Amino acid sequence: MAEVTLRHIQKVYPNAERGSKARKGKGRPTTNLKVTDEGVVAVDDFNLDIADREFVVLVGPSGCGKSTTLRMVAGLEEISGGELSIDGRLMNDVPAKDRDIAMVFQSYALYPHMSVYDNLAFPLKLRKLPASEIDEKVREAAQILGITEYLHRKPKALSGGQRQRVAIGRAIVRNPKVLLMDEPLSNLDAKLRNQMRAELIKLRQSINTTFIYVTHDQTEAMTLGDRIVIMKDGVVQQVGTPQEVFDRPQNIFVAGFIGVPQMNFFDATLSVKAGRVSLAAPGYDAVVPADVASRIEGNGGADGQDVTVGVRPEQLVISKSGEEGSLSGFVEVTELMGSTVHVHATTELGPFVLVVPTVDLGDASYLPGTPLSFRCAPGALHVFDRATGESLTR
Amino acid sequence: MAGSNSTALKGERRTQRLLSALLAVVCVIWVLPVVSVIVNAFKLNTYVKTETFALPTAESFAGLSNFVTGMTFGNYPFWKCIAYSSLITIASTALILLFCSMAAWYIARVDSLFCKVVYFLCIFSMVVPFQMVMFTLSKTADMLRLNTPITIPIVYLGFGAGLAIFMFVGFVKSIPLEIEEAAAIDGCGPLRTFFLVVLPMLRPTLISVGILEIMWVWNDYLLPYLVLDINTYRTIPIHIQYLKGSYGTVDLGATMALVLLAIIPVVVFYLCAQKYIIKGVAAGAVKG
Repeated sequence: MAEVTLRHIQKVYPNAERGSKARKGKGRPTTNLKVTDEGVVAVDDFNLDIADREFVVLVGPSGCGKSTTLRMVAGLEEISGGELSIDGRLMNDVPAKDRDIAMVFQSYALYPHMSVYDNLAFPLKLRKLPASEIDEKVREAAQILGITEYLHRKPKALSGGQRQRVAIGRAIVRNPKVLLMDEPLSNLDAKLRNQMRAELIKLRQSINTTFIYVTHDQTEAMTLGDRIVIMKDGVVQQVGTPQEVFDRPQNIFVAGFIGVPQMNFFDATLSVKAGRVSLAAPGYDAVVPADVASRIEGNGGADGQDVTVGVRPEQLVISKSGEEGSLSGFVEVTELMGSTVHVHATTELGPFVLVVPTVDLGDASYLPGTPLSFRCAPGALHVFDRATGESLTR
Repeated sequence: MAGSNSTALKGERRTQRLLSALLAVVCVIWVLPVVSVIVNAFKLNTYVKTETFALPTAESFAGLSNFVTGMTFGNYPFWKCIAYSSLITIASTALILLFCSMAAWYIARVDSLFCKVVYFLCIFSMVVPFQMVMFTLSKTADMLRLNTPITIPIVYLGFGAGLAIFMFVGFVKSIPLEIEEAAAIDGCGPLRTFFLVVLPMLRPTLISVGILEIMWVWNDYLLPYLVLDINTYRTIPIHIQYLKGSYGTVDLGATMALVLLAIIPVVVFYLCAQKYIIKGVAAGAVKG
């Protein structure tokens, strides 16, 4: 239980190999990370206030700096700049063992020479707790996680899911102020991952601690987090509740990253005339609803501005051909997902994906090559400045 | 098709039989010296020279007299030789295991020029023959008072460090770093991380390095002969050498008896722990 504050946190990796690589002609950067004279900036100006008992998820693609940020909070990486406080105490130079945090690693990181019981008891023994108290806490944690029957086993005799439970048990057994999780479900198969995700939600309700969770899986982020921090190239793109980042993405990256299937995008030109906002693209012309229009104007949308329009696949509705604001194209391929069908269509504006509920299919068959018309649900449009990628509908 | 297959199979079997026979001959040649030591340890001295490979007969059988002669030979008690050999072997091996595993952990985990240079020097020390450095070494050991059974393990530590660090570094690199990070978060400082987490995980390599070092130090003749004051301190191999009397007379029966006594502990130890040798060497070599 603790508040965690990150102020202007920065991580710079000194670029030691720059000279030799440059001589060999291999100096071209392989990432979009900022490179300064000091080195590669892996995390840049990270600011976040995490409330007591909050579950915050850091999410982003590989190499975006989410794990680095978590490791800085854990004390496993030196903080190059900024201030990290836990419960108001500055932690920048405090060793990991004195931060009263616990961490669950992607690779479990169990001690292979110890039994499950000893793995759970290890952090308590280091704190010199009485044996009876250690035993009580170990058995309590084992019961919460359903691993009591494996307490005498060595980690090598456990399955992946059981090992992950032990790793979580070792983290919760000493009631840390902050519980850090670095992609804890990534090594599990899809079925087990779903099961463990549900168990994490239950676990979160049963223990009172602050969670910081790192994942590249946006489904995990959406289902687990009170708030989500979306990162790209070491920079925070948006912080908000799952609903906020889904409904009001700040920029085109967040819009594309959050949501499965990914948001559809097409280029258009904005028209703002006498309070009437419309979008025009080849084969598409639509008037924007009043509430969206006011947001576009409020965010500086100008007449003739080049924009990228985004619309989520589940907010595209099958329509009659030639209907106002509709788009026409052909079915390319369909994917039956069970309760929904993902229809991939090609139009003059590019490829689109529609999510059609299976119950709405009726007699319709979406065979490849079938002509198709669809329109956006009212108010479902997201408009982004094409030059900056910033949302005009936020 | 079937015919050609069976011909190939027969050819393969014949090759295997030939190989087995060849290896059996090699094994016999390999084992012969050990067998001759055992056989001759129980024969009278005169028969050792004339019937070297024959089994003891009623006439040539010496019972345990060779052992008694060997152990009571000269004016230096044999039990002292056993004590010095044991002390030097145990202390040297313990020092090598402790310091080399710690050094290897540091070298494997800290990415610095210093570590690379130290590691290179350790590897380099393995290719330098002992004979190249033995005279300067004996002089230096004398100057630094490393010429007693208590201090000679430091010399052994220097000579054994190359191979030991090479094997430990290979194994440490195969240990996931996250385990040590988890220990740090759980409350371990560097010392506790090493002794409570890393060292127990090094067990297979500790055992294999330990066996190799024990065999080397226990059987070593040249280093203690050069460094120790041999009138005061004698290890078993040095004492055996004294059975060779003046004018070239050698009590071969007693020599064989002492050689047998000297190799018994190492052979027993090796047989008990041989599976770890193979496991540890393979782990260090492959996972590195």
